[in-house]
Amino acid sequence: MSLPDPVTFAIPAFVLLILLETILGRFKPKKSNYEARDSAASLFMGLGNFAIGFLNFGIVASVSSWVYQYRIFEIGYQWYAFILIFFAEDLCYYWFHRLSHEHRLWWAAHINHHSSQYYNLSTALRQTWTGGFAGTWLPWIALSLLGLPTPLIVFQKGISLVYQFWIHTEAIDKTWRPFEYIFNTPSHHRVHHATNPRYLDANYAGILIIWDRMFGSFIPEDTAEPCRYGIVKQIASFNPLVVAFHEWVALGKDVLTAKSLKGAFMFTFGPPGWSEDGSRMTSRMLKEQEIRRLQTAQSPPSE
Amino acid sequence: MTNNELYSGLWSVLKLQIEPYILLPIAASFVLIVIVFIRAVAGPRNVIISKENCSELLSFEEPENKIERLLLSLDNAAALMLTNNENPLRLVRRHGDKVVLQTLNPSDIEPVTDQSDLISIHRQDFSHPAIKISCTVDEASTWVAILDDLSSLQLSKA
Repeated sequence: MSLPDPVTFAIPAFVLLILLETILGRFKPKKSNYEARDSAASLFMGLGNFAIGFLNFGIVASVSSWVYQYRIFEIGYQWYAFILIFFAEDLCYYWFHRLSHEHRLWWAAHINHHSSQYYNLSTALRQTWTGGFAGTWLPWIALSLLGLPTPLIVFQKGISLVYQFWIHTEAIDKTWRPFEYIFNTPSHHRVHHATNPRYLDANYAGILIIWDRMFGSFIPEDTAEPCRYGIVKQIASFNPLVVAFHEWVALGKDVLTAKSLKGAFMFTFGPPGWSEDGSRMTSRMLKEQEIRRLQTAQSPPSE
Repeated sequence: MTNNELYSGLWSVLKLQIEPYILLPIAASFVLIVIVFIRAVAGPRNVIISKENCSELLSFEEPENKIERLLLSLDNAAALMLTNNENPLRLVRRHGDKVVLQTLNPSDIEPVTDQSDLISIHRQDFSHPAIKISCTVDEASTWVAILDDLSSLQLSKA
């Protein structure tokens, strides 16, 4: 069956919407903030991802097709395959995304997407250069084993990527309540990109926010606490090479200077922020520290 | 489904009608046009570093700490801070119209030897390039003394 590539068709719309959002920022700066060097970094990351995709595709498609030979069910392109792939691919995305935030190896490949302190449509294109080599496509192989054809998986991944473009904006506030309940929206995804301790490690959804609600990672946006975007240790560079590789360099340094094998293992597979001497903080530690700080601030001073 | 059918499906998904070696330069050209457009519409974005935004940044990133001494660079592009933290040295630098906070060690900093009104901060790691802070000669000498004290304190602790 011949399926179109949703991303290729969406690129003109991506460009047009970025231009419109830039113009909006000129008149309503609170709704859209563009910095040319930051957007340039994002766009070159997107371009690099597109180019590297040609290399990765052969490897991933070969593995996927090989696994497909051992499929459990014969699903093919039946009508219900399109419904099944919608939910199954989105569930795979949720777990890929959650693991990418919870383990440093995949975080090193994903951090670039969060490295901008700006949050606009161009941020959506700040895509990884190294995810394919880090094996972040592995969760989707389960779909091949289930019996979903590779072209269908690629098609749905494209649909998900296109969907996730429009949620990278401050121009849209909250949408219709039932929609916010089921789908990932700009409001939910702003929380995901925020570095405020209470918002860390939340809202991993691709299209459906229901996965976060089911697995306990949902945090709603609180207008009393505006999102501050980026990463916990902000970078000071617009250079796409720095954006793409800074965490890999840091990871390599940590592994090479680890005091034990366990330390090297934990630096690689432990949570981002883990350190042997406890001098750095993981998201969980930052959240706990914030809770303690708020409790101290709220408790009456002792006499 | 045969392998041939499978692969023809795969390539149909990726079918771009244009060879990658032609497509990529075209895409890069469009990217450049979009960047020029954004620069023209959004204009230059460089935040002016002030005492207020240093204080606001510190209270967000390290709410338990307070500024004890501040050196704003003459071009308002960066600031050195002493805080009440055990490891007290911080650098605030601009990044477009945002700011970045770095924790420094005294060894990361040195006055530029041939210009007594500049304080030079070494490249700390891959993502934080070197920076120079312009200040008056008096400020530079005061901060050199502060850094010396911090270095001796660190040595005595070690």
